[in-house]
Amino acid sequence: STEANGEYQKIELVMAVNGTDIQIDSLVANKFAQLVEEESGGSVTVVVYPNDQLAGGNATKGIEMIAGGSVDLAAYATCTMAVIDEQLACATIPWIFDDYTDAREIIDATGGEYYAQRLSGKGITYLGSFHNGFRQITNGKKAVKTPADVKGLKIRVPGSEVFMRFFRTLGADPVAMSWSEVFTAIQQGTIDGQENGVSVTSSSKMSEIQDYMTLWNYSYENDLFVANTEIWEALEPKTRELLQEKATEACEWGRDEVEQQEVELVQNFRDAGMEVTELTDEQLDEFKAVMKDTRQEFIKKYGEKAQKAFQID
Amino acid sequence: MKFLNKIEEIIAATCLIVMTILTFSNVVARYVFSASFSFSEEITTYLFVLLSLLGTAIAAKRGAHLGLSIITDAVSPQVRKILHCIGFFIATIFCLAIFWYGIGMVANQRMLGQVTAGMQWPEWIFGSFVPIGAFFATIRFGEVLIKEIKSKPDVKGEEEMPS
Amino acid sequence: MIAAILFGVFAVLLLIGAPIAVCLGVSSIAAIVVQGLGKPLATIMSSLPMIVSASTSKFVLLAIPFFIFAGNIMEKAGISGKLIALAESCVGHIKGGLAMVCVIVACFFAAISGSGPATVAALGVIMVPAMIRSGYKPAFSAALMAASGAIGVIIPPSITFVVYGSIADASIGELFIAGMVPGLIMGAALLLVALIVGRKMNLETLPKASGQERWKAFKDAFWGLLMPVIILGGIYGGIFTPTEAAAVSVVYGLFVGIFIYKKIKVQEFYSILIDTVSTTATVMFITAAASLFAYVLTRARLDVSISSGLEALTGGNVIIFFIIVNIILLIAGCFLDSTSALYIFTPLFVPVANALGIDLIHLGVVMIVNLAIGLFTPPVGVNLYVACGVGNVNLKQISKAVLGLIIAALTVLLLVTYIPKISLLFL
Ligand code: NA
Ligand code: NA
Repeated sequence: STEANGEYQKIELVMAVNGTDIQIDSLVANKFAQLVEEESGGSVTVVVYPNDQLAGGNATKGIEMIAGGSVDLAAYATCTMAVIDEQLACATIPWIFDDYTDAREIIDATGGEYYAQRLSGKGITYLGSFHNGFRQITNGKKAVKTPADVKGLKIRVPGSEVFMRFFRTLGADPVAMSWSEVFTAIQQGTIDGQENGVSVTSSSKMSEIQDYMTLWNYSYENDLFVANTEIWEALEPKTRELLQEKATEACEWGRDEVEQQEVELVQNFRDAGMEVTELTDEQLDEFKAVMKDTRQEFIKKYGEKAQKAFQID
Repeated sequence: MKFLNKIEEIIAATCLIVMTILTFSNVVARYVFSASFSFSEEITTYLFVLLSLLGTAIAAKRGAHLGLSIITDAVSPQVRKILHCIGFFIATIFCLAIFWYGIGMVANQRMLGQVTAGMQWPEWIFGSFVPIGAFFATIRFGEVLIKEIKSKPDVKGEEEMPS
Repeated sequence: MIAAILFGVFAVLLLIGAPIAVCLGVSSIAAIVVQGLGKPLATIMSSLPMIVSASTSKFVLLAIPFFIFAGNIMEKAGISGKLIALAESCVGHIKGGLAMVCVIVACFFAAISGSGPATVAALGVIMVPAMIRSGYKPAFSAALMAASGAIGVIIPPSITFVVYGSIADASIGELFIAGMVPGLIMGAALLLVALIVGRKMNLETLPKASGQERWKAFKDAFWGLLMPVIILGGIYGGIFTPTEAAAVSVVYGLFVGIFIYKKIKVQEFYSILIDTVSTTATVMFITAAASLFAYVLTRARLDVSISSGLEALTGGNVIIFFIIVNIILLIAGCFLDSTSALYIFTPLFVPVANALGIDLIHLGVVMIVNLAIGLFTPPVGVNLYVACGVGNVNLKQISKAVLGLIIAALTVLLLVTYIPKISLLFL
């Protein structure tokens, strides 16, 4: 409906994301910017800054910026946002969603509200979320099919304790290493592998240096689409309505995009000569059995409210 | 008083030693014992912030921050002195700005209840490295400014020679 | 308007001789204060400490303090002196021999280090005094070291390539291979300049050393020679990363200095620490301020208007596109650090390059060679600052001395730009 053009306030908003131009958070942000600009007839514009360009490439500082209001809108992964509230990472507990459909349903039903409520205490308004992706493992030594296969592998994980604990429980040797060094470290054999979403695994060129990938959907990573509350509430109601509507639309688009893209990317990995293993339910059960106690500890740590919101059993 | 003059040197030197030990031990832990530290990178990079700012103070004291001397070499000693004073004055102001807004950053980190990504320690502890470091840098640039103001114009030599 | 303030204040402060970091930082703040960037001043200024913190807390930059530390230790421990004696016994009888050694060693060291200033710091304390002793002027010795150090980011491993590859969606492995030959050609070009310049200076030659003397020098330098063996072995043997290698070299240097040569005592150790911190900070203070400058540049969308304006001039012509890429990056190299420049300009260039059918690996090499040159072009060139410290010369002197080397490097840049085969030879 372009007739409403003149009715929107003239405003330029700044949106920060962590990923490169081709990663999902940037794609969603760009989609959102495009939708908003079209609908408002160019009155409301959103300038997207990928790579945490405004925060010196540092996601933690990026989150401080959205909380402080020097940035208006942002999208960050929950395990990154956990620095302001560790509860936000609760959906990364191993195997709480079976697949993307499951994740969508639960987050739209109750999970989103939980995020919104946690964030409101931090001066941040939740507008929606999209998959960052299930985290998968790649390595250069062997095809991972059983828990025993992971034993002794040096796997790079982000510094957070959830991931460290997970791999320690499996008997692997989790290594907290700066992401910028991972490519050369894998190339020289300093570490054996890494774990990440399919998209990051692809954009960081892991198929060039890793022979094996296992799709085990062990941890779901969500990207939260957020606004600085003070700035959000100072907007004209009509603009706010428009932005909320388009954020939801962009998030939905992003979810479809991730699901579709991953199929293509995994095919690309195979074409590049990577051996991609998809675990059967029986094989997965073996992993889940090993992880049982650790998983319960995590569930306990995140508490009942989180458990309810994400329908964890 | 002598201790006060060296306090940033001692802290910065300690930072460098700790950074080296942590990075080296992490190699040993990972390669020899197959158990790498999850905290090593985080602490080391935060200490690097402190080291950089304290080092800025030390380098200011030593006159090691280089500037272009094309004009300052060509002008009379009186003008040179004025230019140097302006340079050191804005350097002091710049560090003061980092200090001032750094305090604001730390306050916000406390209010947010922010923790570090890896160790989950309160972020403000490490965040305070910025105003602490900038404080010393401000003081040292300020001292250099005062010294420059008090100096006789004709005795000034090559200001930017590292010592 | 904001561009006029940003660059205007920078130029004025530069001319009155203010420290470079202050020129960058204060011109950025002036632009923010005047323009506001659409936010209350306090809100936008709250980014200042965050950017300072973010830009000085990068793990890969740790190679800078560690290699500076290692270089200082090697000097005080007498390791450097013995290595110089060995180099002199081998090439001291050749005119310009030590300049040769300087460049060749820098190429080797590039295979260890991905950082320009770290390369200068680690090798400078050995090579610069040796070159001065052989008759090269201090300013030129330091300049040659600064320029040679830039090879470190072109020859793999290089974090700069990793950053480019992930932004441009180009193969990092192929980029590494593509950087090899341009890096070596750059070395050859610098060496040529050193030899030509050397002919005008009164270079002294030593009498040719006998086999016996050389053997003795080799034995003396043994512990020093073992260092690159350990470091290269450790990196390529998968024991540590290039950044960690810098810390390992510190520990090794201390071990040799304390237990074998027994030259480092508490007092020396303290002054090594403080020298290291001071030199590191001069680089990091500039890095932090350059990040602030980059922030204003991107936040005010100046980067987009600059390059879209210039790219409109390309008119679908590859040759003109590359001329513009080179001009933008060479200018950017005078204000920004290489990582910031990559983040800003890669997303702007890649779509145009794709439209023109340019190989992204080739574009990457062109960009990285540009940024490598930026490391030793005044006024903002971190390699120059480290080299000034090592050679005890000032910025004006080194700026003059580095001119010939910049011209040689630009010639290499032209070759790399217009003969894609140089980069793509082994792909
Ligand atoms: Na290198
Ligand atoms: Na430069």
